[in-house]
Amino acid sequence: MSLLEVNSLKKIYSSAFKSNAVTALNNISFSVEEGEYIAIMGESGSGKSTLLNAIAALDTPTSGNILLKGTDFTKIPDHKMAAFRRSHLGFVFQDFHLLDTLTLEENIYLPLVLNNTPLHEMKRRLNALIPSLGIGRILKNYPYEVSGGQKQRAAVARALITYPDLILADEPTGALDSRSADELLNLFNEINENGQTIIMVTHSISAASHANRILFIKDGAIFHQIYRGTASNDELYNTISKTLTVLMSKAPSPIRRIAN
Amino acid sequence: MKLKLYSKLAVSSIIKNKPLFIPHILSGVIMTAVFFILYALSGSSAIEQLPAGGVALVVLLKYSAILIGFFSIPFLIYTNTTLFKNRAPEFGLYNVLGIGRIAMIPLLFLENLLTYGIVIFSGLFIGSLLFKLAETSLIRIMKGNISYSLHLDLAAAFVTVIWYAFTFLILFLCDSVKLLKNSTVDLLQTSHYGDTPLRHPKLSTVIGLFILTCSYLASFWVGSRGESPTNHSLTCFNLTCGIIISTYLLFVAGSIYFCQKLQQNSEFYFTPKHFITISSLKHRMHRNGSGLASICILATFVLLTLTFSFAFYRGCSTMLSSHYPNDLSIVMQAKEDTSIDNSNAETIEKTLESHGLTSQASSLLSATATSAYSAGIIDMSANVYSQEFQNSRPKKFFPNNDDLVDIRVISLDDYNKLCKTDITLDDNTVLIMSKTAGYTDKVLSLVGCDGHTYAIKTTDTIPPLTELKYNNTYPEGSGIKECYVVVPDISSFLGTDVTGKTSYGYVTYYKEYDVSLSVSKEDQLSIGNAILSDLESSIDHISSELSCATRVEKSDKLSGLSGGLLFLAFIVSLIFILMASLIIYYKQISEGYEDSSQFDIMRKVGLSLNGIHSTVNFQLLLTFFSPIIISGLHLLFLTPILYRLLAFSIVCNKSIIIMTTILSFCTYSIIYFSVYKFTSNSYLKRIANKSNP
Ligand SMILES: Nc1ncnc2c1ncn2[C@@H]1O[C@H](COP(=O)(O)OP(=O)(O)O)[C@@H](O)[C@H]1O
Ligand SMILES: [Mg+2]
Repeated sequence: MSLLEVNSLKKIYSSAFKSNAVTALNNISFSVEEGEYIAIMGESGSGKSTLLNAIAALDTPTSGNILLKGTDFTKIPDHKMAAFRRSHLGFVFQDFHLLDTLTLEENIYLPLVLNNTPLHEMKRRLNALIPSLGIGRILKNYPYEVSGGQKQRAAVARALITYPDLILADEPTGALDSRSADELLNLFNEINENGQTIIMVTHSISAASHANRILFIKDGAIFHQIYRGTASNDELYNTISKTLTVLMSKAPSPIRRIAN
Repeated sequence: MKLKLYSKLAVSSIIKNKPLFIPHILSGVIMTAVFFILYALSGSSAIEQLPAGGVALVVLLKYSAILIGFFSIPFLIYTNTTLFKNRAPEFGLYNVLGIGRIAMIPLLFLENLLTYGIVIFSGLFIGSLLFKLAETSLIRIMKGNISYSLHLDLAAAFVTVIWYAFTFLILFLCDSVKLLKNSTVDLLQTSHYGDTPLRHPKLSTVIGLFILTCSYLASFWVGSRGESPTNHSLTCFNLTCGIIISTYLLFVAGSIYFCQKLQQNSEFYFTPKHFITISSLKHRMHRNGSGLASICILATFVLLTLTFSFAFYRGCSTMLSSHYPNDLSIVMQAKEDTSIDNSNAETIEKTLESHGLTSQASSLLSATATSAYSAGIIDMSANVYSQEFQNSRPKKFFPNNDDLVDIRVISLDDYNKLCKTDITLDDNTVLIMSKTAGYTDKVLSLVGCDGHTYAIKTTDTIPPLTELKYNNTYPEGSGIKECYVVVPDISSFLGTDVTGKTSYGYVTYYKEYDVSLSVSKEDQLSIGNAILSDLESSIDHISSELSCATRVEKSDKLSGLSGGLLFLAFIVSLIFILMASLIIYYKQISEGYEDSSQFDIMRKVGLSLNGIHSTVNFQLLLTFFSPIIISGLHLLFLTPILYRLLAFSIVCNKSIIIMTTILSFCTYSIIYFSVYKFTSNSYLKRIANKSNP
């Protein structure tokens, strides 16, 4: 059984005022195995965030279902959803999404506190994370007192501290300078090597070239996917940029054939 | 040319930043309007014509006006700071675009000038509208008996204009300092980032608590003195300032310190229920502490005003019966060391006769004496106002009214006549009764003016004191006890040295005439006026002072005045409550925008919508109700002063005061609560909209 199964997922945005409905996701199906590191790429507006939000259970799909370890969470009632999200999923966002009212340490503890985890257990988990994240000295600071890279590392710590089945990251390097971005990507590789499953949406080819598998999305559908196989990051980088060139061109159907 | 550009910029920036300017301007308008009304009222001739407490009321009003005036400064600085913080990035941007900071100062000045103009104009307009409204209704009720002159309003307006010009100048200076002190980067980030953390929340909290305790104790001290609080105006002023300062300290620093303490208790803090609540509470108090403190102080003020006015209104009838017990009463008071002028007495009787009226007359002697209650002695032989007497009591620097007793001495003949009794007294024996002093027969002995000690005779048939129907000279709550002494013979009681006694001015002869009028109200008024004018022309004013009043007239005036006061207090309070709530509402809503992104994050991180709602509810509840709870506490501890003040003005009935305090608190809470409900609903809606895409 796959860790995550997305079956013919459809998302249509329709507003009460406008007659035209936007089909953001059009019959997307794919599955993710445990320990995979997947990058999702595509033009802006192609539906990447919508897909990730659906997987993150932040948004309900119009049709289709999503199974995490065999549980269809589109069926989980609303009041249990928050707890489910807390214990199975971890998020990293482009704009960090840290609470200004909490110190970094408290931000990291937040999901655990909501799970009623005892303090000593929270401390133990955080101490285990500190060496690889390098945030030991800024834990008592507030988010507005530290740099973007540090904020993002705190956000990663917050995502990891619940030992989630799946980490979802929506353009995590989008707001970072290149050095911080590299550090973050290395961090992702490191945690992936420890067995953590990651799905990351990204614009950046170099970011995507850290992943094991790359999904390309166009107009709400999966257009193509690349497996790393034994390729190095640089080789993967070239393959991705070639694919993107084709993706940007206006002829979808022949390429879809190639993808299949 | 440059001026034109700047004024254009200033106008457009106010219009563009309307949502930010409106709360600031609104607060300014409230403050000026309330200040103006209070100041104008304190100079109003209507208030001074109050029988017993007019002077106290005038002092109270003026005092409130001054307090509001002083209080306006921190309050407007607070609203202005909020405004500036939100606009700082704009200034930063100007700076980046190449406008020097010095060059922005004239712009700031013009903006403040414009704001000031709007505030003063609307404030005076609203203020005088309300004042006129109350005034005209007052005049209507009083049938034009009181004449108002317009120049008083102008004087008040002038003071208002000057004082708020000064206040806005301070605001301008604050802005300028901030603009020049902060770096461009700081300016750009000011609105986004948290305020600088407080340096010594613990110290400030301790100081705040200390000042608050002192103020409360001072309130009890003033309340325990048997004098009008207006005699202790400096203490009152200090304690009020103390309450204002400590309220600020406790809201700004105390709340933060409290949250910090809670956060340090990890077992308590790191639980789903408390974690978000406490941390966001701390954040919220940090930003809103001084705003809440301001609202709390204003709420206290409103509560005091409401209570005072309610009690005043309710107390009028009590006052009427104690101060004007008779339909028509004529009181003749002997001047200086003369005794009652018998020819004047004859004139009065003749005048009454000519109007076909009969009266019950009695002579009495009024004196202020010491009541050594514990020793059971009332001593009339010492002049309590003399220097020797003051010096002989070294332990008390201030003679306390609670130690004094106002003795009214009447002769047995008058007494028997008035009360239709048939009592006889031996020599050296007196009858004594008091409703306020509570003397019991066994403990008391009386030292007369002649130094002679009298035995006290009690009888079961002593009629209730109220039947004596004398006009009360002292307000009931003054602490001076009233005591009636019936003696066989006044002149022997006074002793031989009459001139010496009366020349001190502490023993005074009175002759009172109690006339019943069994005709209609209008006729009573005309009879009263006719008698008054007859007497004015016929009586010898050198030997006697005369007062002649019908109860009808006084009752009309009094109820008109108290009604007008209540009306005014009610309007001022209502407007204030609504506006204060509006400010809170406005702040909540604008903060709702910011907070909704925070709540959005919480939801994404795994907080359920229910959890978010309960957090929001708790915060709203606290921000709304902490000011009113604290102001209720202030009200409670200020009650001793309020009680004394009311007692000296008009009413001494404790249950009336307690009832009115509760009534005004409830009125306030109900209005406040409806605004709260309204606000929380729209706030929650906003949060829900944001987090339910
Ligand atoms: N809340 C929404 N309401 C309506 N349309 C939306 C909403 N969110 C996204 N869309 C539309 O759905 C499409 C996919 O958006 P999104 O998933 O954010 O793209 P991406 O993240 O790949 O840039 C876009 O056409 C966008 O306009
Ligand atoms: Mg996106």
